[in-house]
Amino acid sequence: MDKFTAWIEKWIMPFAKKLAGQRHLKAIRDTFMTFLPPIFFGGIIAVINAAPAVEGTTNGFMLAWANFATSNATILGWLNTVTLGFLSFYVCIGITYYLCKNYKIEPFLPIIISVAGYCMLAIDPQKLEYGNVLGQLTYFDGKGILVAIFVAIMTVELYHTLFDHKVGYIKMPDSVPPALMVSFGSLVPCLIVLFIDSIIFVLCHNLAGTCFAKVVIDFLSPAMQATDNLGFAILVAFLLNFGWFFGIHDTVWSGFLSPIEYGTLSLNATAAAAGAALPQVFTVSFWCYFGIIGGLGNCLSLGLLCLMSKNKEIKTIGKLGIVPAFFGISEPITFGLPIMLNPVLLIPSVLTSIVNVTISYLLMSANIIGRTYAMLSYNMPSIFGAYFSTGDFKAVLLIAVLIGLDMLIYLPFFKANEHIQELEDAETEAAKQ
Amino acid sequence: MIQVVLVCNGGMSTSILASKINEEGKGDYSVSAYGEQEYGEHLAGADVVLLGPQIRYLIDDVKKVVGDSVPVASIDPRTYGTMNAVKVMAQIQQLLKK
Repeated sequence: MDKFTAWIEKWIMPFAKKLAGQRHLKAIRDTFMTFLPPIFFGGIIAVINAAPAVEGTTNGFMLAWANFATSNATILGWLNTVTLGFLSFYVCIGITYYLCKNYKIEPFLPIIISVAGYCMLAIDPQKLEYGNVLGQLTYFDGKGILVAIFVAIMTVELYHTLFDHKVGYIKMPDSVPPALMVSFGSLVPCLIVLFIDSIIFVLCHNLAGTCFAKVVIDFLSPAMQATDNLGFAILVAFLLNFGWFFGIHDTVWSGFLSPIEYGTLSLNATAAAAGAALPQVFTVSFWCYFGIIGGLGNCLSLGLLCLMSKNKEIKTIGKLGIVPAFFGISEPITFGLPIMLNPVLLIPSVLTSIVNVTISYLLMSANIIGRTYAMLSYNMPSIFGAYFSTGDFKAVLLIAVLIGLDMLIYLPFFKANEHIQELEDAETEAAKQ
Repeated sequence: MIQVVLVCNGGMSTSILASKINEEGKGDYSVSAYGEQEYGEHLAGADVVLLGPQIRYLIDDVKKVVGDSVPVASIDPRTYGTMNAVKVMAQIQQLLKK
C-alpha cells in the first residue's frame, strides 16, 4: 500500500500539479469559482419565471405565482439575461483579471481592452434609420464562451509581451511622474490589441456579414455538439471520480470543463427565458445535482450506509460526514472512511456516478424529466437543486431513486470494506497485546 | 495565540475543521479557512499554513507564495477526513518547533 501511495505521489501528483498550475487554465478556473453570485441570482430569477403549470390547480399561491411570472415576463427575462445570459461577457472580464493578477499586471486597463474587444467580436452592429445602431446580444451567453476565452487570453498575453519588450515605450525625463510613464508605456500595446480586434471584426462584418462569435460557432458546432452527449457525460463521470479516488479535487479539470458546462447551462437559460425548448442536457447543474449526489463519489448514499453500519468507527464517520455530504461536501467521507486510495471502494465510487448520469441523461433527452436551466450553488443539496434547476417535481423523485440505487451499488463493496476494516482492527488489537 | 491559515479548494470543508480546532483549542488557536484563490490575501500574521489533502499537489506553489518564514504542510487525509482536531493541533505544534 505504501508503495502504491509513493507511486501515486510520484506520477499522478505532478500531472495534477501541471493541470492546476497552468496559468491560463488557472485563470479560467478562478473565474468560474468566483463568479457564482450573479449565476445564482439569474438562477433564482429563472425559477420565479418558470412557474409550474397551473391548469386545474386551485392553489392560491401557485396561481399567484403563475400570474406574477406571466405579467412580468419581460422584466424577469431581462434580469435573467444580464446575469446568467451574459455569462461569456463576464468570463472574458474574469479571465483577463485573473491572468493579469498572475502576471502581476494592474488589471484595469487590460479589462477595458478585453471588454471592447469582446464587444467587437461578439456583436455585429446593424444600422437602422435615424442613425440608431442595433446589436444582438445573443453571443453574450454560452455561445460566445470560446471568443471570451480567446479575447481575454490574447489581450493579456499581447499586452504583457508588448509592455515587457517596451514596444512603443517613450522615454521621458526623470521628472515625469511614474504613473504617467505607465500610461504612456501601455498606450501602444493597447492600440495594437484593439487594432487586431478591429481587423477581425471588420473582416467578419464585411466578408461573413456577421460577428466573429457566430463564425466560430458555425465552424465549431460539430465539436460543440460532441460535448453534449451521453458518452461525454460518462467520460466526465469517470475522470472526475477517478481523480477523486487519488484525492485530487475536481477543480483541476475545471479549466476545461467549466467553459463547457456553464456554456451549455447559459444556452438553456437563454432558451428558457425566451420560452423555447431547452437545447442542452449536460450542464453544470446536471453534473453537480444529478451526477454527484453528495459530492464526488456520491457520498450521500455512502454516508447513509455508514450511518447504518454496526462498526463504531464507520458509524462515526457517517455521523460526521452525512451533513456535509447533504450539502455536496464529500471530503469528510472521502478522506475519513476513506474512499481515497481504497481499492475496494474505487469501483462503486466511479460506477454510481456513471449510473446517475446515464439514467438522468436518457430521461432528460427523452424529455421525461425537465432539463436544467439554472444553477444555484454547488452546496445546494441535490434534492432541492434538482427541482430548482429544472422546475420539474419529477426530478426530485429521480434524485430519491438515484440515491437508493447508489446505495445498492455501494452495498456489497461497503460490506467488504467493513469486513476488511474489522480484520485490520482485530490485527492491531492483537499486536497491542 | 497561534494564527493558522487552512487552505482548501473553496474553503468549504476546511471551514469545518477550522471551527473544530477553534472550539477544541480553547482559545490557543485562531484558525481561518480560505479557498486557494484567496488565501494569498490573508497571510498577514499567519504562524502556520496547512493544506487540505485534496489540494496537496499545490504545496510547492503555496510555499512559494508564503515564503520561508512560515511553515507550510498538508494534512494527512485520514486525519482530515475524521476532522481530528487534536491530531492537527499536534501537527501545528510540531511544525512550530522546527
